[in-house]
Amino acid sequence: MNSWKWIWRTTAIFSVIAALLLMIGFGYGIRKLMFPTPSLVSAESVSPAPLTERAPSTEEDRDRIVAIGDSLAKGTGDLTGQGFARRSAALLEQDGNRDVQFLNNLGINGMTTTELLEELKQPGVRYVLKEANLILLSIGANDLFQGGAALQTSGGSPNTATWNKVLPEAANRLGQVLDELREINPSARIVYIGLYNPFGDIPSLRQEANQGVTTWNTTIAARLLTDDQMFFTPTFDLFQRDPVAYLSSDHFHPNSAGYERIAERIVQALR
Amino acid sequence: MKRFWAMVQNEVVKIIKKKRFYIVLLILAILVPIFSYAQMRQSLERQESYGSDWRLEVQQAITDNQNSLSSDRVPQEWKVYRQIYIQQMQYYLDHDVNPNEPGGVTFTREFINNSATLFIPLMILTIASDLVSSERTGGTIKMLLTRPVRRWKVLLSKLTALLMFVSLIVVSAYLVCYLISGVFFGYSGWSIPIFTGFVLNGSDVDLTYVQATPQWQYLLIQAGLVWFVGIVVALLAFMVSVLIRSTAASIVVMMATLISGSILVNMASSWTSAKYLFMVNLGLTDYLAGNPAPIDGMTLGFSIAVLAAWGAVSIFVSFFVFIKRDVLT
Repeated sequence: MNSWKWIWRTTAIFSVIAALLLMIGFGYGIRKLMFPTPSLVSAESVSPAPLTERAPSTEEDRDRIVAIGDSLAKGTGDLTGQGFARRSAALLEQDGNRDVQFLNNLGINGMTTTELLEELKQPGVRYVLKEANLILLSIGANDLFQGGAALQTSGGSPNTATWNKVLPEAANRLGQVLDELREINPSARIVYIGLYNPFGDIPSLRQEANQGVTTWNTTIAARLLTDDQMFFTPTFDLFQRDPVAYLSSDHFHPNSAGYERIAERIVQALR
Repeated sequence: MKRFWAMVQNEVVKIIKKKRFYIVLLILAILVPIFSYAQMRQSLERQESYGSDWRLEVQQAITDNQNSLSSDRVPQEWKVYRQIYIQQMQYYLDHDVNPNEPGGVTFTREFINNSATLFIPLMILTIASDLVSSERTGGTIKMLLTRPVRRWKVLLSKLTALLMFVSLIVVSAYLVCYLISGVFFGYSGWSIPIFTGFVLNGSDVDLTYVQATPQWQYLLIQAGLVWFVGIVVALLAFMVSVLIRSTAASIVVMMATLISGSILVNMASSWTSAKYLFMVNLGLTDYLAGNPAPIDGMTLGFSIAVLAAWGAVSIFVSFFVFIKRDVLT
């Protein structure tokens, strides 16, 4: 009977301590959550250095790859989800000369040059780009084709007049994107993936789109040449002869085979 | 008064003799290592793809969620949830604070967050559900009530013993979780800052009230909220145990309502009057973490009020029925 008395005493003492502790927590929580005080200052003070001031890591013995830009960078249409970004990383890895680390894929579906300029202001994005030494960039298709909507809405097909208006503005913004990337990371190799014509199998659209895409590609290639560590990867010819074989079912994005061919091109230029 | 505490002592000893509390501890001691191990495997896998840099991982999480926002197949409520998540992660990243710094304390915080609405209430049911009904099943209730003690005192002594164990269960869940997960992840992490006070306006997060709370304070608040939920669940289970003769039936009734709560939370966002049900209000810790409420118009104050009302009603019903009922039949 004595042992039960002892058990009862310890249980009672522990439960009273526990209850007091929990009551304090509950009361404190109520005060903190229901009557909050604005105090951004304390949040600022916990981080010794904001993300933007962190120095990039300097190990140069390996390729650190980041992909950024639109749905092509993300790999939309690739059934395996790899896209040209991970496929090029895999190909470089196969070469076996250098270690390859694929850091991040920052591709976002439907991204335009305007949105990318905004994205580049994010500290997290800037941090990732600083960490990289090989940046794969795909952007511009959504500026020119409005995300493939042109194909579905019969009235909005890209014609010469809109090309002439949209193209110089978008090219200008892409120039700003490149300047910004160079400022964020002064030494990384930047590979721009050129546009192809997704409307190659539609006779009514083919000619005008061909013209527009070619103009775009030459404009951008000329801009990229001003920097030794920027490369232009042409893809136009890959989708010229038989677009259907290399495009996915949405008629806009490449399929797995299409991405594999783009990746091969990227890697060829880097070898 | 002294006699009352002797009665409480009697009830506590009965609960311990029935080994219910050991079962609770045993369940925790078995489940926590399983979860810890799973979590460890997951973080090892992540480390393989992102190296040791959590910033890359958080940025990828942000990008992935941004991508799902543009998809038409994602329901609107999920989009709001993800927009909020993106802004919170962005805030952590901008301040260079790792939201998931690995460690025993972080694991405990996450584990309790996930078990606050179902797992811990279930542990409480283990003790609460048969407190009165087992006396009937075993026939001991007649002995209990023929003694020269008021009936309400008998019930109150049972309730007091139950509430003592609610506190013990909540605290021991923390202790067991911390001690065991520490073996896997280390025992550090008490002072890591956690951001609280994200005020949600639709899909936008108001950052003016955001504060950096040290993780130990976060755990203290979280424990308090879980404890409050636990008490209300205990009171309801107590009432059910008074109302229903069979112990098995009273456990099933409570379990069914708890599980229905976790299902309702996922689909009741358009049925707004569901917010007065107690089982959708069990996620008090979500308010602390800054997760959006399952139904529009729910706030911490509202949920606490609803839970308190249900708790008060069940106390009233338990005592009323227990005092009035004829036990001889």
